[in-house]
Amino acid sequence: MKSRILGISSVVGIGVALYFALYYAPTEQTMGVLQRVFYFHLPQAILSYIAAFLLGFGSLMYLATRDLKWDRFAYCNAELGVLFTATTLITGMIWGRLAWNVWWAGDARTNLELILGLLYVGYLMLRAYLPEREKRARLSTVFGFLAVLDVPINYGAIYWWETQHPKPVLGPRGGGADPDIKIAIYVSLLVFTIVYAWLLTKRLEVARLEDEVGALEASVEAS
Amino acid sequence: MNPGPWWGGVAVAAAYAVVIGSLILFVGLISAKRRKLQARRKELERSR
Repeated sequence: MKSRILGISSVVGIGVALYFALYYAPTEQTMGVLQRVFYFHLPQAILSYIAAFLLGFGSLMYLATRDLKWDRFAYCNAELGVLFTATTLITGMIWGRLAWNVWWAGDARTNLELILGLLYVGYLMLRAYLPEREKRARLSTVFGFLAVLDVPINYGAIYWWETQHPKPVLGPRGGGADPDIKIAIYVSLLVFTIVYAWLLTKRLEVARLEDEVGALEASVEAS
Repeated sequence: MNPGPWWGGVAVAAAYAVVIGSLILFVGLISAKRRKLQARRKELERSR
């Protein structure tokens, strides 16, 4: 039921986000229409960070409690991390090709986002090589914590090093964006957060099913 | 750099298609995996 409500909200929400991004928000003066990529790019980037924090939280809770539900929570977030990092990088590349005339600027922000994506992939690859359930859960937490470490460095990269990546337009250190542009960004962020929650709920249901089938297979083999 | 409304529009359409397409693909993969696991569970429950 929860998954169904989130699913309907996600589908309707994407329609609303499209309306705000394409019609409600004014065309930005410097970048023109291209700036509208930002309404989808920014939420993907923020959610790729949130995935890391949730992965780290799940890993920590697993180590503290040894309850496999936290391990499931961690690796479902790692999978969503791969998805949201990939969409962040691809939408950023599309934007960069027209704004900077390069597909890959190779600056600290973009490279650290790629590293974050590789940490998620590394986490999932490590798990694939470890057949024993508890050992898999315990050892993979290392990659989970590394992903968490990447996020503050990734966020601070645009302040600490010379990068081509634009400075933030939201928050206390943000630039002066048009209020309608800010509203469109907040709507898009809210919608993609609901989408994330929906995907996580759906993925967790399948993860529980995976463990049930694993346990059934073990009991059938034993009998 | 402002690439103009035509190329800007193409970039926006491509970026939005990537995001929405990826979400649809992810949901499709999860749903397929779920159906496969449910079938396997039924099969295992019968063989117990």
